[in-house]
Amino acid sequence: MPGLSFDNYLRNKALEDSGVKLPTVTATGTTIVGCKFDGGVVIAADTRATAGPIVADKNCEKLHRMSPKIWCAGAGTAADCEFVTQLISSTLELQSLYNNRPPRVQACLTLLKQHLFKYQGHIGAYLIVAGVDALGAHLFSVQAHGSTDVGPYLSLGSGSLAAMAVLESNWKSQLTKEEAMDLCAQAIEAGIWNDLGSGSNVDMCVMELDKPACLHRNYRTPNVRAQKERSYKFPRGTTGVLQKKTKPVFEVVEEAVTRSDVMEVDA
Amino acid sequence: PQPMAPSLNNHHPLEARLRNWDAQQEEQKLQIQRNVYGVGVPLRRQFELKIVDEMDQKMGLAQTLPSIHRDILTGNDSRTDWEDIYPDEIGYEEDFHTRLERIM
Repeated sequence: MPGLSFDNYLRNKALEDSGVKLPTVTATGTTIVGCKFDGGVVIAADTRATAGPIVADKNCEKLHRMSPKIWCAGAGTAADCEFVTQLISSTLELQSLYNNRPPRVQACLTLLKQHLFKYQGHIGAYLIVAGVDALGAHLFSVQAHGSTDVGPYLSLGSGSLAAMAVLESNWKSQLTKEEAMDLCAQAIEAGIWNDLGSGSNVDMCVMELDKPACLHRNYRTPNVRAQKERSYKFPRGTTGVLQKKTKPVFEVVEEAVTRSDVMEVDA
Repeated sequence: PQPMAPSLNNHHPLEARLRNWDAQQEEQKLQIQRNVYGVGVPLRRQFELKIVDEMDQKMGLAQTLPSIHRDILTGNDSRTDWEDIYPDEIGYEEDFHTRLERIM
């Protein structure tokens, strides 16, 4: 059948019942936040992707572009977030070409919400959608089952409690862009230090009214690996040479080219 | 309380829901059109769809392949879904025998 196929469902169930270990999905046990300020909205995310207890990617990108001025941060199953955002981004682009207008954040939100509800939460994508459009700056969040929330500051993911603690303490209603960026970075760092599922660096995207959106990849890198104390390179001569043999790969033959051998190009 | 059907017939709980999804959405749209504009509008839409389907069948296009006329009428020309990314492999009009073989 076209679309997402259930052909392997029985096989997978039989394998699971016979004791084969299922592969762990790469999840982004994550901290993502969004915060509105005067004249725009900023979203931020950490950069760790986990596969069970193992860090699968130390510097993955969780900020996805839905349209040039609408960006979203994804938590949950990494593949689900990636593909759902790409699908809805294509739909948004088609619709904006159809309507000859830049897309709206509410349109993006409704598309996501209806899509995720259709799959009853089996597509594990928890997203914070933010952007600017003709109606102003917007910040929304979508859960995998299709429910949505609105708010001036939001956080999602396994580190959302740590991030929300920071946001609740320091948020005030008239923020400037720098204050909002600082607040979001602080909130993500709270998730990085206090949550096992989040770590590495802070990515940030600032969407301002009447300006192009700006993605700050690795806005803060509080987890740079310390330089190793000694160099583990082996010095030349560590391995003794027993035998040397040279074999020519090709033969170089020098030949003088006379006037009559030159290729006739103007004939 | 979870339904018992998936554990008895070995189907994923989403399969039944998704199989009927498009038809249900179409029906809902037609119902809304009927309530707002009257019975003529959905009736006309269904006539147009029937004409388009007959035309595609005459051209040899299988019903599962994307048809631009059908897409415009159902409003899918500005939408993408998993069906466009993971399409059905059959690219030709299959005859009765291959279809029956696949079902059996």
